[in-house]
Amino acid sequence: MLFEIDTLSSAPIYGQIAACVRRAIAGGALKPGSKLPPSRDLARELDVNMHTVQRAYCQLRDEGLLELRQGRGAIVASGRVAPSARLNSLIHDLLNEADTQGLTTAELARLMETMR
Amino acid sequence: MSRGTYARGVRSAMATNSVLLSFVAIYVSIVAISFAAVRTTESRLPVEAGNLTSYWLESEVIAIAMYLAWVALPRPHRMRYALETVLPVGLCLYGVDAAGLTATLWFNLDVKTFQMPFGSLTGIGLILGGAFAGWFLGRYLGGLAATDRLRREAASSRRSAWFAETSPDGSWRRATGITTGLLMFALILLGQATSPAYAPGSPLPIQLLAAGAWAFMIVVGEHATISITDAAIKVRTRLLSNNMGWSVSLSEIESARAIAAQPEPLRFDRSRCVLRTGPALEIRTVTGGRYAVSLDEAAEAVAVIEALRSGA
Repeated sequence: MLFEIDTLSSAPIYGQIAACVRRAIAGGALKPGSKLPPSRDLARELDVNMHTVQRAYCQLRDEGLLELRQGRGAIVASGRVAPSARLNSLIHDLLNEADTQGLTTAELARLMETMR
Repeated sequence: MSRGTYARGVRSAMATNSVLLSFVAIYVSIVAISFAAVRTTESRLPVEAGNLTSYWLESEVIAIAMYLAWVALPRPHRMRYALETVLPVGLCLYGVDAAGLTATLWFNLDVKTFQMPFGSLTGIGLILGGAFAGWFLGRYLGGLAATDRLRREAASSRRSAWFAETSPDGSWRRATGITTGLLMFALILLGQATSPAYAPGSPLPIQLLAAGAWAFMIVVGEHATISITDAAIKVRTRLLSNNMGWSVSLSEIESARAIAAQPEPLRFDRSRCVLRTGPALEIRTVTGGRYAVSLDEAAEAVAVIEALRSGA
């Protein structure tokens, strides 16, 4: 799978890495049981700190998207979480876009309320 | 958003020679320490230990000659070869030497009958431990050095990394079994005929150990990780076999395409990591090099490479 980050973006790097995985899961590129690259390898190739990648993986684990197993690395969790994964991905993309346009979370929430 | 330009990754022969010559210097040091250790403890070793120095001299001279050949022979990518091949293999041999020396002295100090280090499970464990420790250290250091060689040359805000894995099928096991099996058989016969370590009466387990290691390698199989970044394509392999990993800087690539490939017996080509019969990614470089790796997602990898190159 393809990971893409932009170090000049206002979004934190761990959030960008997590967003890549969410998109891949939501789009079907990553199936349940798929293995993600080890955090050390991904950190080396993206030229970021390994803890940044681990933080992204931990966030995805907390969301129920990944299983982190000692010695086996990060694995995409079973298919039951797919709907929330898609929703998570869309919400994160929305928040990133709002951030890019300079909108606060409260302003975004108000905007969403007006659209209901 | 900016993208930088990237290094070709080709260094001068002098830079490579310093790496290889430092290996030779370390190797000579280990041999010198070995001889010094045997000489200083000679009075406490059994009489048969005298054979040991001649055995070491023979194998170490061959090893040093191989290193010197690596230094002397002209190669298009000396630095790459040194970092990714010679470093792991060299440190693996250093590990075997250091562990073998330790085990030999440990087993033979103040005893009457000389015991080869391969004659006990402890000795075999020590030597295997030394070999693996050296191999993994070499891979780690080689990986660090290769990463530095292929680093992004200019500051780039956007970074990309694409990952995939590939594992062997039956065709790889057949091809590698034949290739490495013949080599193993020849080495055992050669050792049996020339070295005191394999002379009649010496412990048998070394042959069984070699055959067991060969069978283990075939059963477990090779495994390759492919990464494509905006700096380079890297293929890293898990086991030492006739399929070593390789790396190519993105700026060196002339073309990338998906091909059909199959493992071939008796083919030692570092730049060809074909583990399955089926799709593979083939890279051609501007210097005329050809690299291949088995990859089910070869078409996707080609698209990623083209996208990254067009953005570079």
